[in-house]
Amino acid sequence: MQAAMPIKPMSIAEVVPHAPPVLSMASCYATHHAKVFQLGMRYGNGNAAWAEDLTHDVFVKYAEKQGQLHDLDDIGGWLYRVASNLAISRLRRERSFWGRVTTTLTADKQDSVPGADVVFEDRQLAGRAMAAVQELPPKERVVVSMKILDDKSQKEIAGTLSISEGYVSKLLARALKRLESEGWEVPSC
Amino acid sequence: MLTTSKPSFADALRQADQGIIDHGVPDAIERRLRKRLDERRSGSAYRLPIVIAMTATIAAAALFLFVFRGESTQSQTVAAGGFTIENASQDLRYSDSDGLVITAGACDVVSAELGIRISNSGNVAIQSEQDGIRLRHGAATFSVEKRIHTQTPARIWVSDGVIEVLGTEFTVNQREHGGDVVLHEGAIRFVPTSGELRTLAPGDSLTWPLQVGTPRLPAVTIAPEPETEENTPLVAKPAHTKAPIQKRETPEQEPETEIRAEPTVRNVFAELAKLRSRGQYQQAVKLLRSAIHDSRTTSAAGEQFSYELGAILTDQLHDKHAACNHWKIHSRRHADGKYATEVEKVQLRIGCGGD
Repeated sequence: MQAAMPIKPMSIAEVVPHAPPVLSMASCYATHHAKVFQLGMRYGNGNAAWAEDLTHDVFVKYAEKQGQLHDLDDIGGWLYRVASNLAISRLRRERSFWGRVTTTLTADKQDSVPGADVVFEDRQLAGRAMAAVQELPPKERVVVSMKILDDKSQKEIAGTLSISEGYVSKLLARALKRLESEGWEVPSC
Repeated sequence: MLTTSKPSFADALRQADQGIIDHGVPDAIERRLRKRLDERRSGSAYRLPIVIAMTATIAAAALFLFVFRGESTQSQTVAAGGFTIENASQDLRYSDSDGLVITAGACDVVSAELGIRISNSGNVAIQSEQDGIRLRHGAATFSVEKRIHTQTPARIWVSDGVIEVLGTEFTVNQREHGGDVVLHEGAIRFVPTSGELRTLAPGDSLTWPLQVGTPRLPAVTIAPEPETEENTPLVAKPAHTKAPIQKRETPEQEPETEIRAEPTVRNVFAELAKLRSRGQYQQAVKLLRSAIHDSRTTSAAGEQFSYELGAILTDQLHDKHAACNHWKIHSRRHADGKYATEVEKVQLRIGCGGD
């Protein structure tokens, strides 16, 4: 049988004392992938394949940048920022490419959403809300989600998306107005 | 007078988001993601400029030689129990005084002797057994090298039995009282401490302690994979188990000794991934339809293929009519399938009318 070397509990950081504090890809993925995937599902309107691709792209980005990320306490925040921005880029790209096709194919979306059904009322509302968000332009979609679901302030949203607070306010107002006109009760900005 | 109140958008959106959170990351997606990222990493797709990469490599080698001068020159850490630790994260913490207990970080634990690689998912405790590995607690994904006819299966001991492995990939979660295993690829069988042996097909899961009267798993029998063929079917002839085979509609037409090969799940999904990455969704639909209708495809694999087909029709081709038709058929064929809830959600999302 093989002789086991007596090794005391230790971390790799102790073995290589001067190694920079970098969170490994495996560890980062294990800790954060569920949250990133959730963001993908959210922005991709519940499309698992879309969320998978976004998650993949986010962690590829992490692999590229991990050597430069030393604030290990805020890796989650960094990933959130990257996921949100990549989601906007991806949505924009798809809109320009698929926009006309999908609009034609889903023209009867409103009609096809089931009417008021007592049994599934709550779930229908959730589905309708998702469908309404899907109709918003990419940036508005992400901003509204950040505001309502993550309870972010306009300042935080502006910081995350690298845009001005004024622009965030404008995007929010525009999105909420549109939702209100579709029959929703919307929160104030 | 009739008054109507508007529905709250914030509440509805939060509810939808909660649904997403509850949905979690499907196992198949999680596995595919890991694989994609691994492949990207091993394929040096990160495009580091060659000069930087070479410099970094030389610097790392110099540092390594400096730190480990006079000691082992292996790049892995050797732990007790014949395990080596590879791909350790910076924050890895473990103890090997009483088995191998990982308390933080991520790594691969390798038993070269048994041909088993274990990737931890959080805290995990394992120990070496005479003929295998015991998972004392925690969740880990096991990859086992293919066994040939003459080799004994690798054995993973858990609280209520042993999982015998013939070359495959699966995830085991051992909790304080009981646990579960999900099979991703290949074939495994579960030999309970008491009771009859159970076999699993890709996509199956099994929870222990086993309930008395637990329904049988879908028809799967296993045999060691032939040593010469890389892409042999995952399901072969009935061999080592007394577990009754779920009969098809015309069982009498199938001789008991017939080898029931199927299009390997791995092959179909590999081809599917290729087509998806190229945006060739029509070809992907053809591939999946053909795999579904292949008479050798097992029920479990068929359900996976069917789910993927529906997802492509829904989300890539945006063909609502075809998607709704497909989901209707899927729901009928796999009424109690593992994707039943998700299928229901998709139908609701795209507005498939009930009938």
